[in-house]
Amino acid sequence: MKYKKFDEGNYNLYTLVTDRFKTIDLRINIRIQNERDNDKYIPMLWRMLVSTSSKYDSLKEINEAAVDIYDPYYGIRFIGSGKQDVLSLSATFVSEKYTEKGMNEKNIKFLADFIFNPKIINDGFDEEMFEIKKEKLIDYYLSTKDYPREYAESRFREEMTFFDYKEHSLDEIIELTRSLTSKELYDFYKKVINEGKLDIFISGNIDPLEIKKICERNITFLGNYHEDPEHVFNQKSYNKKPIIVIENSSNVQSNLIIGCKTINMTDYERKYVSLLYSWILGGGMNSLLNQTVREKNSLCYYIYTNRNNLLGIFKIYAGIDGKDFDKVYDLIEEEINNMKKGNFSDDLLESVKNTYYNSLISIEDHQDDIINSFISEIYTGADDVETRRKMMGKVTKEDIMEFAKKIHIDTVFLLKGDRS
Amino acid sequence: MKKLSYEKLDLDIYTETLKNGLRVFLCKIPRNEIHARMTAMFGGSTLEFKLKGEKGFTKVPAGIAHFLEHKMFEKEDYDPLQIYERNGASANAFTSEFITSYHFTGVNNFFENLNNLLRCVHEPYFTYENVEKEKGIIAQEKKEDLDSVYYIVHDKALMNTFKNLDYKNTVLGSLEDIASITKEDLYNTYNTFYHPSNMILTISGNIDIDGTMKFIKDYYSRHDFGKAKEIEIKEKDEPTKVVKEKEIIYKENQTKEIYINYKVKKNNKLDDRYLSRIYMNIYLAMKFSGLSELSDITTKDKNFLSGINARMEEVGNFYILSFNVTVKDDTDMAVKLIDDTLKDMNFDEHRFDLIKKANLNSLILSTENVGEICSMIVNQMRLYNGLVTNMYFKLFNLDFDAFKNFIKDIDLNNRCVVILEPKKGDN
Repeated sequence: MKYKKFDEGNYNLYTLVTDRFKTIDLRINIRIQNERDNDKYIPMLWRMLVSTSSKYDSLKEINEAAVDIYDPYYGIRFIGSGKQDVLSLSATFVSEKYTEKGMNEKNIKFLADFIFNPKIINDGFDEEMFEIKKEKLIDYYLSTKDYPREYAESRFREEMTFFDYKEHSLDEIIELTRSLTSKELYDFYKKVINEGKLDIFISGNIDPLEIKKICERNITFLGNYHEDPEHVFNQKSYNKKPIIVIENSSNVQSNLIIGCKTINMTDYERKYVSLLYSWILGGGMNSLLNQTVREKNSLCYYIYTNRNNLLGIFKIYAGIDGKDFDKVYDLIEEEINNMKKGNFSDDLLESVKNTYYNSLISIEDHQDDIINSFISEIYTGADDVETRRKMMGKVTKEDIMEFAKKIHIDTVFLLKGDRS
Repeated sequence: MKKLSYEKLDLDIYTETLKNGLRVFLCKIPRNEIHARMTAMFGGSTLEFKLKGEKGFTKVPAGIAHFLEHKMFEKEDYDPLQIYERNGASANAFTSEFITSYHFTGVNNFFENLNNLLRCVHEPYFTYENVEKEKGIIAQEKKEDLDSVYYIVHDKALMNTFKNLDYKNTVLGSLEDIASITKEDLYNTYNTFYHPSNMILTISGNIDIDGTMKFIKDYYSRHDFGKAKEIEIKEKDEPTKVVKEKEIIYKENQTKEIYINYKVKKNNKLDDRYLSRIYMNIYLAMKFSGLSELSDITTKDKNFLSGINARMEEVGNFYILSFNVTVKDDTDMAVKLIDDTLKDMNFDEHRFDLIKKANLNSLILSTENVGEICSMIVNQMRLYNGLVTNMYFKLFNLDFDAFKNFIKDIDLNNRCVVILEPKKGDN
């Protein structure tokens, strides 16, 4: 695979050429610094961008236009990535080799318009659609309780502090959304464009120079060039005595989330050791948590770890019976301690390393992975694939034990079900 | 070994039926990874069966196929998942109403992984203790569904749609079903459905076709599964009418969830089952996809908190057209809108052409992924007992008038509606 970077003045275009696919992947990312109040705008902004158009009057017309150019798959989201919020459009469309000449350009233009050419009326987003979307978003927030895993996550985020500030509670978010106007949202959009760092990535069986010309013809980006926003957030403290919050619900199952913080994580640990730690503790079916909580004690169907290495946060998720909470918590604590003591087999360490090596080889098999891998190098300073392989090979059991000592349980949230 | 080519899709399949009846499908595409999938043609909707020559039918609890899927990973002296993980491969299994599949994806040690897959499905090891242990795990899997508003209405709609067919049971079974399963049930079921002649092996990705086929044949030359016996599934007459036309469930909830099943007797106008399914799916897409008027209605109407999800499944002699939507207040309006939309037999030819184009695009995309290729082959074998290698042109040549003719007489008068309402006061 060959990649090329084009400096387009106020943004960078990256082309990644591979002849393994019948499709082309496009990613348009605009990165801004994470701030507490971004939550007020972000959920509304991507909803407006993806469902309105300056060119088409209705969603049906947008969809018809999409099918007319052979139905690209696309989505727009904001992704929280460390200290950044990334407005991201990702799309896959069939290469014009399999459709019609000129379709690559038509697809890129159609997709880029969602981000760069939104429907703006009187210095605000389309008022009618804005009010509909706003009401539906508020209803969505109000119905979070109907979805136990989502609700537990949302409540957990209220209880655990991830940044220098406390995140908005669900009630606060609802009030902020209620007070939002279409003009304020448009101001936020302009801020994203003006202050954000834009990068465009295109992979597939493409001619880089032709793609460059297509982008120059079809993308009008009015923002300025900016340096990369800060990305990594280092946790400075944790609750010495973990906060344990138990909320009763009318559910059958109880949803447990345990949040841990990592203090003084080195760059090497962030890139390599933390991943192996996470997989050994709660990655695959042979991880310590799966073997102990699920297989030996039959206490759950799912239990797994989730790692956010840019924030130094680990989370453990499990679906259990409420009456088993103490037992499950003790078992999890025991396995976290086992990580510190190195009570895991060399075979398990080798297995997770092999899984990692395989994932590196598989990157070339998936266009979104190709782009994601490349993005991680640019955004977070990840090493190139070959270096990653070498460095991961050097991680020892002692490295993992040392890292395990830096991990502390900070917040525990249990959405307790009591319906039999 | 026979080579079959999917026209216009750059996709070649090498296939052979082994002496023991196992059907093997191999597909090489330019990827580093390999996906292998062993599928038993047995799923959650079969609960009464026997082998030809046996006296009575065996009846097993609902959820047996799924329980069996869990237990196939348990062995007396080794752990199949450990072997996959040691090789850096990811592995899993799933059970649907019709099939149970075991699969892995990996880039290294392919033959060791493949050997592991074959052993995994051919070496049962059920004990009283390991069956009891699994009940707690599967009960937790089920409990998640019991808290899901979608599954609550979906599962109730199944029971209210079918009187006799075992399809009315969920794939996981109820908590009581799960608790009642024994190792004898598992062995009975395994011995009936897991003979190679009732299985399909599909592999796609970076494979050496000849070497892989040789490996598979060598494996089976060392393992004798006895003569294949014909499986008899107990036939059950299913009335055309649904069991219950409307039911309201009350639960502590903020929104209202609707699930509707239309039970449509097949019209048998076409011998081509592939085409029949395509027509039914296009019918739903014409009326309910993002290309329909409905997409703007549900986007703009504040009563709709989700789009209307529509899908079709063939069950026995019926097409089941299913609809699911979340609303804020007015359930009657949503149910009526779905009913009116479905019964409106006016179709727009331009939209028909657009949907055709979208289907062709999906077809190309489905050949990009090693797992999806295996899924496609298994589905075609299950539904058509053969590969539809000319499916691109079948789609390309779809005719609007033939479509309208196929759809025009379908009977949409048998339906069941299930609504989940927020609990208030004493209900």
